[in-house]
Amino acid sequence: MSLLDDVSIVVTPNGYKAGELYAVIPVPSEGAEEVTNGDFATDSDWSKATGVTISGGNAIFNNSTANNNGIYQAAVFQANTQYKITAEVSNYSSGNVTAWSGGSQNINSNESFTGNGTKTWIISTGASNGYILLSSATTNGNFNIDNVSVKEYTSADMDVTRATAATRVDENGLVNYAEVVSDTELVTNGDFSNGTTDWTPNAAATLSIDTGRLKIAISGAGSGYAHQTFTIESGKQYKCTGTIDFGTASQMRFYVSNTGQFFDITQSGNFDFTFTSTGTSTQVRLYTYGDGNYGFWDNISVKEVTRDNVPRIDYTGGGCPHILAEPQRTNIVFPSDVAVTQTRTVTAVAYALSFYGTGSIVLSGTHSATLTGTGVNDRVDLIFTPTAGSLVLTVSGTVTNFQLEVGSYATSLIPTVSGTVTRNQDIFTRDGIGSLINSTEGVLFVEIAALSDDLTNRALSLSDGTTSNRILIYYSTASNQIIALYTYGGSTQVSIANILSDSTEFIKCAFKFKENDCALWINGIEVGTDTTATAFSADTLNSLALDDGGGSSKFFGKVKQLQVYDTSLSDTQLAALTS
Amino acid sequence: MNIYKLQYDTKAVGDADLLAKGTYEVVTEEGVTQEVYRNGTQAIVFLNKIVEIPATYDKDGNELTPPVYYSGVFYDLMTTEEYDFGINEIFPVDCKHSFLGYEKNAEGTDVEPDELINE
Repeated sequence: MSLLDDVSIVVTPNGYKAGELYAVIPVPSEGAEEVTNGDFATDSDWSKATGVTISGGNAIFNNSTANNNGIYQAAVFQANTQYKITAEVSNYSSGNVTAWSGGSQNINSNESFTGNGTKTWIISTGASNGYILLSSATTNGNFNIDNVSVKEYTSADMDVTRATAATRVDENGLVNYAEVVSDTELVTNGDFSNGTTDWTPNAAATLSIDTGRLKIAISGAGSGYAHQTFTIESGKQYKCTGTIDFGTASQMRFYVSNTGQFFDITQSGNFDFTFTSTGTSTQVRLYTYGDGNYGFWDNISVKEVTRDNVPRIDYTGGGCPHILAEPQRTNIVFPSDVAVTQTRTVTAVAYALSFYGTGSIVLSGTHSATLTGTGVNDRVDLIFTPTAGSLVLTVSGTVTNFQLEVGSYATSLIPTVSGTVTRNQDIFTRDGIGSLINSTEGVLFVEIAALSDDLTNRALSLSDGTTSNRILIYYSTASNQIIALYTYGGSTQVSIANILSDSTEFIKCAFKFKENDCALWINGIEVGTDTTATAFSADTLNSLALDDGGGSSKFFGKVKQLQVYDTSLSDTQLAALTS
Repeated sequence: MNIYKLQYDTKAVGDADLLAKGTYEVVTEEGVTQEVYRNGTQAIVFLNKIVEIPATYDKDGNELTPPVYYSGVFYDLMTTEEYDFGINEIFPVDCKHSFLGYEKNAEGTDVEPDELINE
């Protein structure tokens, strides 16, 4: 019998999208339909507020007011369960279409949508539940809703929250943003396979095709350009990429009219810029400089890019990647790309200074030290505690990816330009999965490493959403210590501790829990047991999170594997699993 | 997402106001006390004092003239919720701090940090 027969959840560095890390197991599935008359075939089953009518197979919102004023049904949701809600919106002209859940109509709101089309919400219900409400989250809701569906949704995909961008080391060892780039290309004929079609020159530019590239020749002015205009959305980020060859041009720049930004391209080859839209359209211009000169452009692309909440698959150290979870940090030196000498005001706490390159940084003022680089692609760091006051950082030689942050260890690069910048903490949670966790017995298995032996609690948990009932594996406030904890009804039933040789090294760790039969296995060895434990009632545990079950003691570290088994495995199986 | 730029007389006053508004909670568990974000808070960044006029130094890093700071201490709050911070909310035009992926002056308008403080 394979271990896979007993595993109910498997999370690895695998697929993801913004806000979600896909689990390998289970494959998402949907249950039976939970709403009645979701197609509004009759004016029945739904309670309606003022401004909403049911007619012609639709729920019609006509200048509905906000929040509670929609359509609802009771007794649809079960508590602590995950659901998929879909609804088709048509005739949309205004409002924010929102699905609500809770013990009464408008308790918990979810994502709001505008425009026509099928809208989908994946939600996890809380302890008090039943009602589904569809309404506008803002006044003047004017739209139709049809084909409402609510089905239980079984999946262990983890919600990822960070609300800022973040960087990671990719498979090539390069530092770049974790991002999801849209499949939709906004530039037409960016590869110039259709000649110069869709590109318009200004008066000083002459366009032609040269070996598949756009050649821009300048005459009668210091610069000229080809341009193209297209629709974008305000507030969203866009990634501009392409390839240039300077030819005889003295300078080449990519211009975005939406933001008025010129992006300087310093050498022939690929370029890569992003901008945040402030309007609903933009013109891009391929500026080429030098009267009588020419330059080449190719593979021009502009696509929407999302960086907030994108989970990070990190390859630091080479080999198999891991999921990277880090605390909130602020880079207080700038610019980060190429360091310059500067002074920063510091307090008397631990700081981490880090950079790449062969240069050096001399610290003076409130702390004296020198950090010397070891290579263009090598990161060096220095942990130090200055006295409060002004710290002078004197840079010499090549120093890139420059970072100074409060903390006892260096974290991933936080790019800066002209001020300090904060990356938020990573949060991973998945609630509403009681059907995937056997509360009475099982195994929580992880392959993890700490970012540092920083003497804080960093936990991974199965729980009921509180700290009262939980299965926990955590690095503790003792040096290199890992603990398996079993809390039942608010009291600790089991606490098995083990001292690791180095908590920053990956370990395979399994916590077997069962009535009067608990054990902690690390790297193939049973390191502790406890034969006094009261089993949870069925369906007690319903959440998986990188925290202590109550939102505290978040796991900041590296995760290669996270698995939940629905039976307590044998010693032979546990030895094999953790070896 | 809402980003608030906040200014308080002291860190104690600022921490107390943010706690009272429910942006975070102090949790003590197994003898360890932590400040845990609550109610839609994504980040609270304590910026401490902000330099208005930088200090000057000699070539060895010795201070020649001390820096001049804006009055009070500063925080940036990122949250999904809306709050009324009254006179503590400010709208700088050249923000010294931003969140990664956001415009430098996100949510800022056109008032210098120390001009909104009611003395």
